[in-house]
Amino acid sequence: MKYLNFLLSFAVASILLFDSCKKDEEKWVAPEFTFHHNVNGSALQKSVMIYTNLAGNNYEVDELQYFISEITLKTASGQLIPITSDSAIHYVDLAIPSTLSWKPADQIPTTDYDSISFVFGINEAKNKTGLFVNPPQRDMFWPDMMGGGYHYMKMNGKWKATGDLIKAFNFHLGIGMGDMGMFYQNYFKVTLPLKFHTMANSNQIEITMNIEKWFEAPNLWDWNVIGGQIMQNQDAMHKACENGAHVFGIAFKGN
Amino acid sequence: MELQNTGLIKNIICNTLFVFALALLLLVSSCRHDEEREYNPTPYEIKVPQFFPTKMNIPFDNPLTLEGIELGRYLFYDGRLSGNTETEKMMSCGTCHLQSRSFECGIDHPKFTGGHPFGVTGILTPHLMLPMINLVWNESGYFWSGIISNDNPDASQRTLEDIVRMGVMAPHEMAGDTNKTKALIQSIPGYPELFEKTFGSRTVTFRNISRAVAQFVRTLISSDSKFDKYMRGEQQLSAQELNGYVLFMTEDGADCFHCHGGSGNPLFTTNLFYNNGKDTEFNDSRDRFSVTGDPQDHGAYKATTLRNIELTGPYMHDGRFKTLEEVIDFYSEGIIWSPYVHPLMHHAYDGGIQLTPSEKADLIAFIKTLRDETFLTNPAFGSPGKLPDGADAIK
Repeated sequence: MKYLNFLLSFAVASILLFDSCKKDEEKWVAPEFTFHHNVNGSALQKSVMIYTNLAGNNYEVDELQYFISEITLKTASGQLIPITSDSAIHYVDLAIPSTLSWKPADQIPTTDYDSISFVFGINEAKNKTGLFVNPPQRDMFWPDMMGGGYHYMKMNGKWKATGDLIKAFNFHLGIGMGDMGMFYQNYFKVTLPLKFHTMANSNQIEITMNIEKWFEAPNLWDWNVIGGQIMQNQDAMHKACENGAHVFGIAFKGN
Repeated sequence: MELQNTGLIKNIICNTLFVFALALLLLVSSCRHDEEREYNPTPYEIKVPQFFPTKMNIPFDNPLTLEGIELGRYLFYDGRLSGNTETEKMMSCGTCHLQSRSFECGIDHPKFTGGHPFGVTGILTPHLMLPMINLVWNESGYFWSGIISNDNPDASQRTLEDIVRMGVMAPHEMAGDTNKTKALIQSIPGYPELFEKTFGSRTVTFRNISRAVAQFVRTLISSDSKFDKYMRGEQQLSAQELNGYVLFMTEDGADCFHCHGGSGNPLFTTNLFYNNGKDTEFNDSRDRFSVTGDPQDHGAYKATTLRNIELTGPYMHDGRFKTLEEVIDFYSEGIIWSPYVHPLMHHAYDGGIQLTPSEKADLIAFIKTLRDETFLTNPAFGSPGKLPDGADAIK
């Protein structure tokens, strides 16, 4: 009888333990971030000069590469949940489909969320030359003499300039160089409201870049005035980054 | 009685089967021992130079070993790799890929006039050569178009190993036959022993020939130029070289770094593909477009490494420029606009970067700091002099 009681107790304990483990598992889920690119709502078509910005420049985008980092989710109760895997930095490249989604190793708690924030580019503490030695991230390096580290973004394309000349633009953002050897950190933080409750199977957070918004407000972007290359034009990079605050949208898809 | 007999028969059958199985096992084991003797090649680990990539392009089925590299070096410099023993028909990798010319043939080659090599039958190669430098870090495909890559639907055209086979068979190279080559190498005293030490079998296979040569090529690393020493704080650049470096690394200067690397990319190439504005008509069946089918890749070719570039003329895929000065003149004033010019060639609409003569001289002075004498004279990369059977290696 004693033996039976022992077995029974063991079975009950096991069930309780298993149940508790199961509940623990359900408290944490894996997020996935996907990256999308459009021009005023229509999916970006690469290398076709079909877009016109607010300043009236016809343009096309041939290449787009950028870093998103320090993604942080904020719960309804105000708790901040940072995504820390891969040094908290993700590289996006239109030419490399695998970079258009990111499943970090992080798990996030099952709860209600209110907003998401991230850094466009890489913050000053991390943005040092040598951080990436392997391609493709390595090829984003920013010359040391111009502040070092990495391009936050390279958007390469062409626009129809005055006189119908086709010119190339290199909308490159990174550390800015001012007078007297001053360097300016141009990375910026984006915070977007996003109310969702984590789901059991998938938790996909879509981050969308509307290309056109880089060129609209608060600074109207006219390549005929600003020129196609801005790496050594801190004023232009600053204006671009101000516009960058309005570039991103976000959505949650889970099941 | 009948049951007893049945048991006895069963026992006999079981014992017979057991003995038969044991014999079979011993036989198989003995055969394996004959064909694949135990071997313990010595692993070779590439010491990654400071600032260089840590991710290397080494296939899992062909790890580097000291024995493999030694064997590969012999084969690289053995004209019998072509399958021929007649002097005029003998050819190997080392026939065209000269260490002193950064493993290109060089514009001053006594046989390949103007630096354009041809094969044993006299057919010119479709394109000029690319240098064999730091290929262990090339993840973007080989050749000017990058066609030899893991993305190639033809599984026999993906790796450095495949290029060895293609080199033996190509009409514009060795115009050979892998079976003939294999048989010839097998017959040369010394090679079977080296194959056994490297791959565990005295039987020469073409796969193992390719694997050995590829191992050797992956060790050809350049990381000791004057610029490398500058980056390591061991040597200073001259004022002119520094001026050139600033031009190289700035968008408002010559803007070379976006395609050719620099302090953040010491390979001095992204290994990617660009139309750099040489032409307006594109009908080369071996450009990047031929691989991707993307119209933007018309007339695009791999950006070559600039390491030792002063030694690797003529320049561009078709060798149209004979000197570095001609190349710099082209980027300064000779770029031709077409819809396919890569947007990083942002000065294309006004013909180039418009350098002054002194800026051109500064830029060339900097580019020459990428010459790596250690690489060019490293005895481990050079001809072994004598081959395993005592025959002369290609010098």
